[in-house]
Amino acid sequence: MPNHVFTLLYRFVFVAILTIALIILDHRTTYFDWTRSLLSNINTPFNTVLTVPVRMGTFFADYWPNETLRQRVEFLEIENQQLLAKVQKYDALEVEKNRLLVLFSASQARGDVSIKMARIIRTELQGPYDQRIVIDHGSRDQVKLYQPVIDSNGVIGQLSKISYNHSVVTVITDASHATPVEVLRNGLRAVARGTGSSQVLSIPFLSFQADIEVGDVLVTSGLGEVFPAGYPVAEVVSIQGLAGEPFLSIEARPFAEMNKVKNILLLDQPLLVRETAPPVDVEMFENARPDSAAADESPEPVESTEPTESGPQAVQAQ
Amino acid sequence: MNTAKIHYERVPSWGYIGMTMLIAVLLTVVPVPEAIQYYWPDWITLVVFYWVLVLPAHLGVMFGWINGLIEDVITFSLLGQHALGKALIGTLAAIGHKKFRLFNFLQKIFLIFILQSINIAISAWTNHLAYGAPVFMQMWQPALTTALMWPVVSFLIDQLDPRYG
Repeated sequence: MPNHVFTLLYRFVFVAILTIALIILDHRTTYFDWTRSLLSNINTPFNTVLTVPVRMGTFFADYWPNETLRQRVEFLEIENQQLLAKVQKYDALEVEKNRLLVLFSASQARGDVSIKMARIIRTELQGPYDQRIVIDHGSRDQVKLYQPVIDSNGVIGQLSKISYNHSVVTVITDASHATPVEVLRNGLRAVARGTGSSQVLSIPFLSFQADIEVGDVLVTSGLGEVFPAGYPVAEVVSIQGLAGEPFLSIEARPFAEMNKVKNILLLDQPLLVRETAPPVDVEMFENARPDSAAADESPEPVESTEPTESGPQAVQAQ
Repeated sequence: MNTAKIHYERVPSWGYIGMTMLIAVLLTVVPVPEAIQYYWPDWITLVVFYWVLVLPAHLGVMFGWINGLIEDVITFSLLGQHALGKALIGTLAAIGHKKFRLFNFLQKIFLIFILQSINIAISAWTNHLAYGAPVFMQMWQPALTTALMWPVVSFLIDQLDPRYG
């Protein structure tokens, strides 16, 4: 072989070793988080370019109000009226609930959730493990890691990477994401696991005796301390019991339409205190789970609150 | 369209190379409909392959690696996940440039299909090792579309070069 081929091969082997080291370090440790955060700023011009059509659309719509726009305004006014009416009812319910909580001397009443509105810059729903949405809020807007993200229909996901002026939402349909849910009808607790398709969530580990039906609404259960309780997540669309399988195979369709929404809401829950939360005994969970083989092959990022060597947090922190 | 007529002896400006890289990155992150997202070509591979064939003495391993790293940052992947495959493409293209230059466009399409398949395999295996992500056939569909886009992309990069002919 000629000389230059060897030079190239040596160079490649050198680069390959460095790159593999980089991958391992980036996956296993947090050394590169700041580098990534810094490098991530090269996204800014691309984000600006990519949102040009949207912004131009808004710009022109402002100057040429048309029939659709008027209809939209009317629709929004009506909707606003209805929402205001609902909120009044909610206020009354809140008072009622607090009264009851005091009555039952509950340890703590949940505080109000403050809401921030953000705009979606980019959606990446390509691969099963790349179900992400990029939003225009970053550390300059005081957003926090793992902050829950919803839209007007339901839960979208949680913040997994934060840069100065944008951040990345890992959506609930990402295959590495699991959302603690409960059935609204009867409070049956379950886990909604992402499948990698933006239309499907799977509900594992429910036995044949479980009281769940097609059409059941799943809401967040508040376990896992990421999502506040009571937000709608998905609707059960199919339940299959295969002979020989220990559990039902259940599919649910998320309420949030990841590829259609433009604006999302960032929840800031006062209860969300990750820094002070006690470390979760991951092994205890692993042993308690009925199907340990399935548990091994996909860790659930939502459940843990402390960074662990190999597991949930590694997926989230990347 | 006879794409075998790429002007390999020209000296392109670095600005033009940078511009094609920029457009490739932009095309990588542009939102595409869900129906075609598993067919969306890897534009960065095409640009890397093209420029390494034109300037094999200057561009090779590091050119591919840097392009891959940019892709990693821009798609929020693990740092190095795409860089490794792209560096391999740069290396192989630089090693075989004398042969590859003489290939007709059908042979080049086949070559790019192979290279891109390896690239996707590296990226998929990295994801599999890191997160236990499943590896399935659909992931290799972009290799086909990437290869089929080669005549168009090489023709455009040729024709739009201000120093061409």
